[in-house]
Amino acid sequence: MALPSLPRDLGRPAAAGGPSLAGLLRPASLGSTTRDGLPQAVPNQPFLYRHYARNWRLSQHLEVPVLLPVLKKHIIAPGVNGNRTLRRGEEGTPALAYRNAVRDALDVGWVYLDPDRTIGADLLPEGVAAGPYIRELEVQHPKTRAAGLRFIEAWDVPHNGLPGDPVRFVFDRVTYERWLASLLVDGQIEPCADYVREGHLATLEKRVDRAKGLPMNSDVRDERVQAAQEALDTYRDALAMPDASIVDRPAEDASKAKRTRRNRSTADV
Amino acid sequence: MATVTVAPPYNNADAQGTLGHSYVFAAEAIRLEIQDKLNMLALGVVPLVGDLAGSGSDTVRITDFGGIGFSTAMTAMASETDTVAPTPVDIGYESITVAPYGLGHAETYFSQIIGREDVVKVDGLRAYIGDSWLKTFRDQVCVAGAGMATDVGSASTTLSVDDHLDLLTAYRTTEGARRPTVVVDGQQYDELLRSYRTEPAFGGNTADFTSLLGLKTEADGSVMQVHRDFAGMGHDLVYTSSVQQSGGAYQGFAFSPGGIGWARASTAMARPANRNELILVPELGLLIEEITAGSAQRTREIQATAILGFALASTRTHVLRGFISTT
Repeated sequence: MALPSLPRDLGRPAAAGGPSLAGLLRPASLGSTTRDGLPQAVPNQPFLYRHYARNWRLSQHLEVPVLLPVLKKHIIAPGVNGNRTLRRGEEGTPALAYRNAVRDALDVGWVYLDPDRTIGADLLPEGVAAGPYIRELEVQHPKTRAAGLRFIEAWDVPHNGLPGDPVRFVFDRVTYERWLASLLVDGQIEPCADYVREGHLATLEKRVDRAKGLPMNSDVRDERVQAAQEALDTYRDALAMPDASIVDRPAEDASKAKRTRRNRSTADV
Repeated sequence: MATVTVAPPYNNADAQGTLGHSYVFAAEAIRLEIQDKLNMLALGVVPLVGDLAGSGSDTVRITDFGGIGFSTAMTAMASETDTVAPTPVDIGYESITVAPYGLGHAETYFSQIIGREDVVKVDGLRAYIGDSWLKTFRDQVCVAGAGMATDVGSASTTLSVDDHLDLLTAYRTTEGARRPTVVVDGQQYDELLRSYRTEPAFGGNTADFTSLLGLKTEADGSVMQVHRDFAGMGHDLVYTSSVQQSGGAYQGFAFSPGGIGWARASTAMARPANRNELILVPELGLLIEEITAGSAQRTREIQATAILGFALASTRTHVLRGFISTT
């Protein structure tokens, strides 16, 4: 055992005339980091991005409306949807845990995006380096204090919050939509098929019809009909295959885009 | 300990440090933090489809067939002597693979002896492992639900009455579909309620307005997360923080009973090294044991192991829909 030394931090207020304890003061931090310097967040499982041909979203932040693919996560959680636990000796080939699940999904029409493909920094949020669509963050569980990894989408940017709070993640929709458009431009995902678009248009037409029949003040009803009609027209005119210049153009003001974080649906006019 | 001279008038500030306490504990029991306590197993819509204990495999296959009965009509014969061509039968399957899950609690003997609150000692914490099992069940059901192929709603807009009606359309227009349960995030639920607020059906009808939009609570005062026959629309809706997110959108989902299934490996035949303090819950695929490796360090540790698996059913037998909206 090393020789003991007098404790420096007695945790008591200075008595009158006693030695100053100014050295006990530490710079206040407004961050969510723990004493170990790790951000507080719940660890989770890695994932692969995949797309199913029926699922499309209308762009909100591109120069012109574009039908963008909806990407969903194939979460690599052992014991869920065909993912299994790695057996002894398989640690060097983690793909074995989800190979069968991916194969089964491909059979029914899912399209998987290559997680090893590098995305340029111009299609990522400010401060995020070029790299794959999945990133890992070393974190500490806010409740259990266990260290782990949190796997996040490259556009889900972590931000500090109040002391003791978990890390906040803010999703950058502007650069995300530009990247989604790039998937169509470079052929990683086929554009929206006409029959799928027709199905979505039929749904939007029903919304217009419903809005027209609402028993309410005519001025308010007209606003809702107009909003529903605009949504329908925008969807009808949206590009299935954007021009490459849409991907190359600088994103609109990112801070403005983030303030429109939650777009109200047309029914809420 | 040095003596402190208390000058008159004698005040508590001078005496407390020597004769008193800087604090005492409240008489009430230790409080438990706010937790999402939705019990998805109790809903009865995620059935057990297999027990793999002793099977020799970690995967259970659920088979299905079709192209017969109500799916195939008889063919009118062109003539009296035409032969009848036998029709094919469709067969298929889905699989659930189980995996081990673990959770542990440990304490030192010193803490065990000196500690004041029994509920945060290992023996007390063991009582909460069942809740952890339920949270695991709920989390993994939501991970499975996030994998549904066809979505209703939009990744770009908040959840609305129109989205809700579109979801019901999916079940109405698939003849033979069974009543769904809808699972959403709490934020999605609140947005949907706010959208209902703008519906003219509530105009001037305070009773309907409050019955839908008012805060509903359980008998113990906790805010209700399970809404039977939500908004009178013919299905149950539950909300939980376990709903996943992807691409800036909540991945809510809807499924008929059995649309998501689970499998286990019963622990009834487990033979851990330490049979003392062993708790087996075979119906949950759970065992809780005490491990002795830490006794040299004067620590005590309990470890829970569960063997579970979850998966979506086939879209041939169940109507499954993602119910998504922006975060």
